[in-house]
Amino acid sequence: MTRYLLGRLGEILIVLLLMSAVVFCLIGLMPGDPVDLMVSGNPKMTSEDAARLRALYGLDRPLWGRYLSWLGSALGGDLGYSRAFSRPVLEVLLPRLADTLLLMGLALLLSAAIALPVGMLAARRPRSAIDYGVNLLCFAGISVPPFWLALLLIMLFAVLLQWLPASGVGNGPIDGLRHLAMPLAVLVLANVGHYTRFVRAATIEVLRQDHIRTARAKGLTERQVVRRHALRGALAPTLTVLALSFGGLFSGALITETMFARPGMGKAIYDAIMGNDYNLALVGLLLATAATLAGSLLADLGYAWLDPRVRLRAGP
Amino acid sequence: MTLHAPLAAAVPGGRTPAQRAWWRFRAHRLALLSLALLVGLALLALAGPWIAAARGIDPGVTDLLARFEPPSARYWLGTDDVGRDVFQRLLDGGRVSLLVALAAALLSAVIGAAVGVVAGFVGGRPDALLMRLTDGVIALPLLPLLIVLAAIDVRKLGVSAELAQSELLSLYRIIVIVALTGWTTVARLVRAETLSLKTRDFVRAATALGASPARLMLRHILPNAASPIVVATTLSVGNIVLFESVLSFLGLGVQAPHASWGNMLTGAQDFIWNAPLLAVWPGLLIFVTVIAFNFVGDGLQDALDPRAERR
Repeated sequence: MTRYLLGRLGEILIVLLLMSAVVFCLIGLMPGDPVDLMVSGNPKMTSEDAARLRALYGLDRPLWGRYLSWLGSALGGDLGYSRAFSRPVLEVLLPRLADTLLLMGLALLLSAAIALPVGMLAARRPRSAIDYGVNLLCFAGISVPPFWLALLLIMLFAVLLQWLPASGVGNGPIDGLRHLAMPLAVLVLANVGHYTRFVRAATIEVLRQDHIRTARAKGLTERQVVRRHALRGALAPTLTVLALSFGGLFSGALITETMFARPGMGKAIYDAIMGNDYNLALVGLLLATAATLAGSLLADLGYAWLDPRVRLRAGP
Repeated sequence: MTLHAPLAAAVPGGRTPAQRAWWRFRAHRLALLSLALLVGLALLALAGPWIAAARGIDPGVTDLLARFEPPSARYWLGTDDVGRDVFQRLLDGGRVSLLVALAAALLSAVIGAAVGVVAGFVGGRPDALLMRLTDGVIALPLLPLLIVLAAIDVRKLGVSAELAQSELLSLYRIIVIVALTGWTTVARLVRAETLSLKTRDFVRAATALGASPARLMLRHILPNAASPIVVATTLSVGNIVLFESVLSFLGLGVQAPHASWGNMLTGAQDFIWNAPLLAVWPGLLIFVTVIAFNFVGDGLQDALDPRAERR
């Protein structure tokens, strides 16, 4: 178990290292380095000034050299400054990460709370009217573009009915919840379809197994069979799907935060890329990836805990 | 023995596998309906320029005197914020969105099939590495990465400024970028199929006859893995349309003045008060297209893989 954990953590570190190199190089290909931006902001600067500044910041060095020195200081704990905020990037990002994790966590809990009972209900009577209806709704949820759903909700609840605020995070817990309602709804609706379909498939699979037949044979009611035995069996494979869905959830958070102007991690990364604040974008992407991979690891550990047949081992 | 005749009659839907697959596909009413809808939508989008000519409307021309016109006999769905005909823009956008989606789906099918067949056929370390890569791509937060890819300045890659500005390049670029999201499902399914196919007798016979690994993969394994490739690709088109639309919406995909369903929604948030319908039509078309592709994929799954349980 410890070996497995260490192996997975090592894997996460390797992914982060690779990501940092790839994203650093990609960012090197983006329009406008910091000096370009200074030049465009200051007409008095000559090209000699620009060249001198480039040498000063080390921007005249090759990309890999710059990456290695960035990596060196990053490993030393210095992740650099944000150009737009003029503050250390971690100071900018950590509160945003907390906000995004809250949004994602609530969305995940709510989605699971919907997907488990609904998926199991559909699985109990495959090809019934209920199953058909659930399937239709799942397809609708999977297929709706999240940013358009956000637009529709804003139109309905913020513009037409004026029940909910269209943007921001609000002050205090009640106001905060009111601001959270629509982003949360978009994120849940965009993800719950996948989860429900998977819970349904997993439950159908479990209901066919021998221990379920035994449970029925010993006279348990169908409700007891489903609650006591099928739920546990269906929960484990569902966790593996959750483990792979954090990346998609973060992508969804980026869209909802951008649509509802929530100062979270996803919006910070998007704004940073669009506003040439490349150091913030790089560190933000790495933090988001780390959080995503950590979430996957937790879900995999939960899977092993739920399913005693699974023994976690390091390596394939 | 008259075994053959009753047997053929017992298999519903006809004699050839294709006929039987079509028969099973037809049983999935929603898939059939979706297929008809997609064909209709594609034909309408392709006919866009002729429809525009027949109506005497140029969808690219702005007319500031006719902003936010309500739907009328002249402007069937009204006009947008710079006076362009919404209906014609929807057709133009549909042409671009569908073209990008289909091209990206084909590309991702090629990538996925290549990765899957090599991983399954070679096995061992390369297999472990490729499948790790596939799982990694599934688990990563893809959208911010795609945004980074879409934001790079191709001129710094040595592309001339002229080419970098061209429409064709921006189209190719968005196709490649969204294709990077879709290949994983195909890769996993093709790998699983390859693992089972490579132990079959006909593959072993070909090996015994001295066929090279490349020939085995291309001639013997991939053609027999066609069904999962088709199903997975169809199911990934929906996701690809969603990614294209969100990138275009964020200003990083198909660029204005070219219409795509995604970028038609870019400014819509600002016009919610004057023209709420402007925000409805393009999104509705994306939604309908994606759900139709997903239903067709579901139907194909039933039709092409009858061994899979009828869920």
